[in-house]
Amino acid sequence: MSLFAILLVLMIIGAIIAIETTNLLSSIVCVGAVGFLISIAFLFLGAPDLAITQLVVEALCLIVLIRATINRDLTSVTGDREFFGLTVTVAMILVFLVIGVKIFDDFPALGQAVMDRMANTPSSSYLARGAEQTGAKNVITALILGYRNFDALGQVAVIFCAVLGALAILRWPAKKDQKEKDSEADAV
Amino acid sequence: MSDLIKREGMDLVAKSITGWLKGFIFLFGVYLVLHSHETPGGGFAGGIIIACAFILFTLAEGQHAGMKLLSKTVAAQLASVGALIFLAATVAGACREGAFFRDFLGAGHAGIRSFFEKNAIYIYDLALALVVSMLIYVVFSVTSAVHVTVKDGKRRMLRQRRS
Repeated sequence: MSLFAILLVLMIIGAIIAIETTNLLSSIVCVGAVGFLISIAFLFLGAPDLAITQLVVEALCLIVLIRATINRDLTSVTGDREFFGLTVTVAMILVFLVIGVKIFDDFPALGQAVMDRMANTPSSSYLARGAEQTGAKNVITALILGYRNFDALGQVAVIFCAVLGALAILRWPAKKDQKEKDSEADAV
Repeated sequence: MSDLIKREGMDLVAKSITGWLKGFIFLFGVYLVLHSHETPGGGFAGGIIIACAFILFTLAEGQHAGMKLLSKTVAAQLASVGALIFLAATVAGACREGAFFRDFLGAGHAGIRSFFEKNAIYIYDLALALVVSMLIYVVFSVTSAVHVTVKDGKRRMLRQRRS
């Protein structure tokens, strides 16, 4: 329990530094540190699948963020925050804090599965008979690609549409630019 | 900016270390995908690790070498093939077993299958890994051509111009 307290405190410190610092590179490094600490927390809570995914996605996001934001022209950010946005953010954080305290009263202890508290839930039968019903020893795989395969199909569709959208927006060279450039070249 | 374009990729140390590591990273991703029955990992994490191998190569050797190894178009087509395989496995379950997502390879579920005794989860896993790895690579190669810069006192997103 104390390990998780230390991890949580470190995560909060990293997040605050990531917001408050003006240097972009150190901000991104702090975001990465928060992600890696979450990954360690997942590992100690007994979710190696999530830990691996979190670690890998975090590394990838860091690469893309550094590649996109850091160059010689722009290494630090200055300027004030908008008053309206700040107030709304603080208000939302307060609301979620109140709701979170309410929910934590009802929560089981950290690391104890919620499904253990009820007798005849589908999840307990997944745990008990998942291996023989789907043929996969790993319960996570049996769940994601066996019982809840419709979710996986939706996931594939979401990723596909998102990347298609990104491709359409960030296409290089854009068709319109290319036409203008051609006409300019003709004029010159 | 001009010397950045001339100097393709990173320096010699990064290039040679990438030359050693890229195969092992790729192999680890393939291992995670193939062994998702037994070990943690699975199609999503393994696919991203495979994409990371390609991304490492692109970062170290430069955009042109990366595009030569696996171009954006080919990656998008492979991702489409993966999505179609996923869909085809779904429909095959409906055709052969009478319900969507039903295991169309296994004759009943006798118990835990060994590594060489495949069932439909295996196909779904491979398709998911193909989709995720190729799409992440496409996202990287699209976004890496974009960078944020300051112009007229405002932050803007610009495309890096190729020579």
